[in-house]
Amino acid sequence: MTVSSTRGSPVDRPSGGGLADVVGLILDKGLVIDAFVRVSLVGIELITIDARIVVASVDTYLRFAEATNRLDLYEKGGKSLPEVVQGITEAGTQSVAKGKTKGVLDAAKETFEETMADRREQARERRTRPARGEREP
Amino acid sequence: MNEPGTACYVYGVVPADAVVPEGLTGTDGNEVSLVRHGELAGVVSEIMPEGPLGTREDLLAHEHVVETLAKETTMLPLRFGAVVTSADAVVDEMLAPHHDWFADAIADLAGRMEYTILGTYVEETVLREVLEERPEARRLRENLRDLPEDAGYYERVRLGELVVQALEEKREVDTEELAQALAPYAVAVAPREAAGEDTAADVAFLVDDKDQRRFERAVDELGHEWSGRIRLRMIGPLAPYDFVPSPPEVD
Repeated sequence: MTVSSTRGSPVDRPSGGGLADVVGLILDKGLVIDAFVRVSLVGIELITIDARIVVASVDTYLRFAEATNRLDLYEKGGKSLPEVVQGITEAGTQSVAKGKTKGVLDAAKETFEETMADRREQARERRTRPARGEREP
Repeated sequence: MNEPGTACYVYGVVPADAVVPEGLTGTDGNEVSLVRHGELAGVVSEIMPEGPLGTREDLLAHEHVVETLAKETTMLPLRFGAVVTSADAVVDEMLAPHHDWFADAIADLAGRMEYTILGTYVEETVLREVLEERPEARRLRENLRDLPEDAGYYERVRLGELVVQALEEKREVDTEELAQALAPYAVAVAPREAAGEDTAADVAFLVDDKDQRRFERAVDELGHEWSGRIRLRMIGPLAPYDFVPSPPEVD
């Protein structure tokens, strides 16, 4: 992971260039030039405006349902290895499929997603880690 | 209005005595410079006025310039994508007519920087809490556990919905707690809109330079206290994006 923690601290301190952490600030915060400049404003198209695609609620709900069900993996403990492996493979396939869908979406979203990629990767890593642990002797 | 040739990208406003570090480049890879008026200076670089703007490189360039200046001086950041016809327009339409407003804002923010503290739930811990607290969620999960992945669609949606609702309630409580724990070390607090469902809290703090260490220590303490349930992420010190004043009434 690219996150560096100060020794002994449980707090993540991203070290420089973590665009995913600040993209919201850059796009949503700060002074708006239109409030001051009217006449000489150049209306350059901003692809980031369209990039704010709100994930449909149902997708979110399904994701949480999936996560809640996945608790089985940790809980039962007695789950057979093939089942565990299958779970991981399925999760992997889903991510790949999602990635492809994103590839055909407009450039705006792609840019936004790109900036979020490292964050998503971290999340995925976290999610699969316990399962991976079980696989090891 | 939109002349051919280059236009002027504006990053923010700094005090007139600020200095741009040598070799600092912005969007389009062009050199960053200052355009001064009175006590103020606009931070600008040339840009080809052909859109669209907003690639990863554009965003990174904007962020790099703002953060570089913020380390050196008081930086009032503009929102990404501010382009005007020329550097003169920055003076004529922004700095000259609103000189005192900008000067006051800079004075208010001098010697202060922003931290954002993002708390993310440890999924397993918080989902267990939800199942413990919500009988309906527990029941739905029992029903779903032996069904194949493609069955029980509506129950899955309902279960997820219950979880999201529960997390919303938790987020409210935890955001308040985070704000209260760190407010003593900050001069201003601004809660931010939660970006993700697993967000426990997302709060911006304006911190005096002299209090940075105490603030960071308090974040560490909270991180220890919340460890295993909420993971904290500290971003900063940054330019005071969340604490720029509302623009003056123009017209």
